[in-house]
Amino acid sequence: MVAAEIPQQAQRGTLADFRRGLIATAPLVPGVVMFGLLYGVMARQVGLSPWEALAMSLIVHAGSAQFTALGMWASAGTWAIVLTTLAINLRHLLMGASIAPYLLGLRQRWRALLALWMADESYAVSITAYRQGTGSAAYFLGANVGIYLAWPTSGLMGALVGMALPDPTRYGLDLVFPLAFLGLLMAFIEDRKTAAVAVVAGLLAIAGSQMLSGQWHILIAGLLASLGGIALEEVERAWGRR
Amino acid sequence: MGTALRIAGMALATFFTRYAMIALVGREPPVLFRRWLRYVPVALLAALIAPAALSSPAGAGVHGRWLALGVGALLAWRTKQVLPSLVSGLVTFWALSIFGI
Repeated sequence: MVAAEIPQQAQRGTLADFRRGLIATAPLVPGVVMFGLLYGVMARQVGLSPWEALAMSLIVHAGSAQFTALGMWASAGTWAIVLTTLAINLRHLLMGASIAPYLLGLRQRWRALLALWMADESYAVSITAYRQGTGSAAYFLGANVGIYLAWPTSGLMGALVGMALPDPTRYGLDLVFPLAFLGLLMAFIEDRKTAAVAVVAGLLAIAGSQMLSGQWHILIAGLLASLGGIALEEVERAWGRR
Repeated sequence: MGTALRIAGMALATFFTRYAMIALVGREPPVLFRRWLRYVPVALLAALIAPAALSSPAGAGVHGRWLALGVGALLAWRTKQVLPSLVSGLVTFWALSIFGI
């Protein structure tokens, strides 16, 4: 980032900014709600009560990490789930680093609150506003609240719907999980290197699942294959230099 | 109790990743770390799906399930989105189950 872009003092903003932030998330809410419904149905499938599903959405508030945790819920231990959550959420470090300069001068407890609520969607809306010069802490807060209202409520609704269906496999609802993950996975395949990493991770995980108990093969295959991505970049660079 | 502990651990892990860089005030993470992060989600998701895909579904409608997953995979690949994959897969399954496949 160019030094001149970094503001000296954070913009606190006004109630009007809060409202603008809240409204800015509106186009993203239908996507969040669909995802939340899906999450709720899946949470029921792995045996969470609607209240447990709601509690997870309220205090974890991280869609892809929650989905991943549900995928491992029955067979993995607590540590495997927590470490996988950490790994899935590592991208938030980059998001935090990019938005942190705009939060300079805010009280630490406000910065912690904004971080606590920073969802992918509210980050995207807020960093765009900051870059355009219209961002502020109030705007960021409004965007966070907008997403935070949509995610847990839709998750609870999904869990209640899931409970009303006596035999979900009859309606093919057990397919929701693999289908949703296929879509998520494909969204991350941007080029040949990411595709190669996906293939290697899949093969390592299949081999690992035969050898390791619990769900550690997911974490180990994920770490090895992602490091392989960097190795591929290095190979490509060395190849280009010849 | 186990569920509460898991949810609390997930919440702490998530908060850590969101707050760490903000608490450190805008320090950029190392370049190598940024490059690595590009491959983490794709590797984890692939590692999660692949073994699950191999354990084939059983019982009624098995063929319909495989076809539904195939159609879903195709649309996921073409659109790079969750909803087209989900809707096309489920509709395929429902359509086939009418014919008892």
